[in-house]
Amino acid sequence: MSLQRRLLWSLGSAFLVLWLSVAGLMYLHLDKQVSHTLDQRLAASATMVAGLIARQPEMLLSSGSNPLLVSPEAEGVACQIQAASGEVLLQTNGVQGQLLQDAQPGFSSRNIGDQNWRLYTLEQDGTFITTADRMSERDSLANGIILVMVVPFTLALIGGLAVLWWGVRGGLRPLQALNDQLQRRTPENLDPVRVDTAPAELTPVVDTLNGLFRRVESAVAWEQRFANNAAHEFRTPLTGIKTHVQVARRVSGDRQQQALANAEKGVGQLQTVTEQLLLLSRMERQGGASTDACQAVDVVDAVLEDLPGRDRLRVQNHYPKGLIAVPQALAVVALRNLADNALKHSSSTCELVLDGPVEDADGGMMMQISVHDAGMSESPGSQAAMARPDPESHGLGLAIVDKVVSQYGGSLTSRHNGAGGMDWQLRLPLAAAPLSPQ
Amino acid sequence: MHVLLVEDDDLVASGLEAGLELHHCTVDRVRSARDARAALAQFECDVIILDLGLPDANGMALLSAWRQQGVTTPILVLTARDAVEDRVLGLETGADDYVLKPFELDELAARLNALVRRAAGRAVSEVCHGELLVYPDSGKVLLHGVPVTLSRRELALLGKLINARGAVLSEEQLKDGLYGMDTSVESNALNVHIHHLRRKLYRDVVITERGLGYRLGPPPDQPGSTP
Repeated sequence: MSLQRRLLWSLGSAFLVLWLSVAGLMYLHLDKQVSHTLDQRLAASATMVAGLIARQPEMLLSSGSNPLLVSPEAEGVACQIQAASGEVLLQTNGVQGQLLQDAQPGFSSRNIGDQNWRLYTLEQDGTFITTADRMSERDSLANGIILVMVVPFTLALIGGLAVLWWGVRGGLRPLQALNDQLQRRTPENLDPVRVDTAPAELTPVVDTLNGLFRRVESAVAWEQRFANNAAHEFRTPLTGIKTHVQVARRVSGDRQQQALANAEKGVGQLQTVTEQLLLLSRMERQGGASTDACQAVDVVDAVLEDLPGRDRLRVQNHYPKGLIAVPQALAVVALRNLADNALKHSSSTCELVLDGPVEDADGGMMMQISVHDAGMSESPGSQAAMARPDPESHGLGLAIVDKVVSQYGGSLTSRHNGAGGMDWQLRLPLAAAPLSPQ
Repeated sequence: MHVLLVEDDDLVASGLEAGLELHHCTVDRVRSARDARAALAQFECDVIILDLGLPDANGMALLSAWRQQGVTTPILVLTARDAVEDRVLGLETGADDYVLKPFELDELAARLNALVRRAAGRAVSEVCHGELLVYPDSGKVLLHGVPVTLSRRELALLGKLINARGAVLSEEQLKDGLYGMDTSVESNALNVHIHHLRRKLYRDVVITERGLGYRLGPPPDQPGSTP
């Protein structure tokens, strides 16, 4: 059951029960009050008749011509005056006087003929004055009162329920809008949820949801980029191998040997890509960071050992004794990928600079290593230079650098430089207190 | 067929160069978008093979820029991106064909031939010029039903003239088609190839339009007829 229905059902039921209880209590109280009032009227009528008789005792002698007690005949208060001897001195028409006899002073009820009566008898100077109401008239009056009470109560009840429905529906409209949006969404849709006039209670939910959508979208985009890059880096050497093997099949002699050598080179590239992917997979599986450390200068030496195009890489070491709190194998892979990326995207010399210790935003000491490239453009800042692909799309190598820095608390930043290339800053945590620079 | 290959990976590029030369293609290779722009401004080519992952620019942006500049040369996109969206985007941006890495050399060559053929307005691969039959895909040439052996350059020259459909081609246009960026060509090299064509096929296969260039001559005479 929906929240709106549940609210309407519970609030409506409570409202209905409360409203009917109040109406029932009011009816009972009113009925009692009306009966009491009518009894008072009987008593007042009897007292009034007694007063008249006391002032005009001759009335009893000429009762036949007295109109006061003759009418009304069919409805209203009936009256009978009876002497102490039992003789009926005066009586309204229609009342079976004999049946009003023997009435005891005070209130009583009696069935006379086919009708119920309510009687009040007052004794005064040896005479008994009895006044009476037909119970049917009283019932009719009570029914009239009920009718008068039921109509406004019913209207108020219906109105109350309508207001309740309107209020609940209006109050839950933002929630309903959120529900409708979420129900209509496909799993692939990561657009932010928009709820107009969202109440304060719902705002954090919507904000959290939209934040989650943004993160998922970002993660999906990253995964897609990574998959594209991995596909590119796998298929490129594979294409080289396949092409050269096809060529080798059709030529002979030196050309065949050259084609096979190229195919072998492709196998080496494919092996490197595979190892990098396996390394990334291992890092993701292990999760936590190792406590191993290594010398920054050893890392640089290892990078230069087998880096293709290393003759175009100029190294400046301003801080040779830095101890990095990252296992040497991972630090080498990260820095090698960064240098390889710079050489790949530059047609001229690149720079690798061991800048030294810097303090990061959290106060921790970091070893900063910068890699600069001049890009492929001859004219720095030209349209071609600025059209260089986004660093995020550079490939598997940078994805591994990202993984290393995130796992070991480092950072990797990049920006376009004035030469048309890019400046990369790799920061890796220092293992111990920094030594004085040489 | 003169191919401009825009590919940054040396291994793939060398394989393509070697493979396409086996399919009678002249291949000029550049590594970056900047070099590709310069090459296309420098000479004409029959078809372009464009890798999307270039170091200095997105290949798709280069493709779009070329099409906006009015470059009508057929372009075959060569990429590792296999998503349908990427293929659709490539074709909508202006690519004439989209080939996924890795590929079969024969298929790639066939696709390149088909692109050049369509660009020349021909529906079938073989060219019938009277009794002269040329099969650009296989490099086979028949004159009066007799096979004639032509070198790669001679075949490229004949193909260039056939695709021009009788139009006059300047010396520079023919040199572009034959040599591309190879600047170490001797000045009379084109004349040598034309001479060889005339000798191997028939004298009027290439007509010299003085001061203008060269065009494909009329079909060969029937065997035995008087020249």
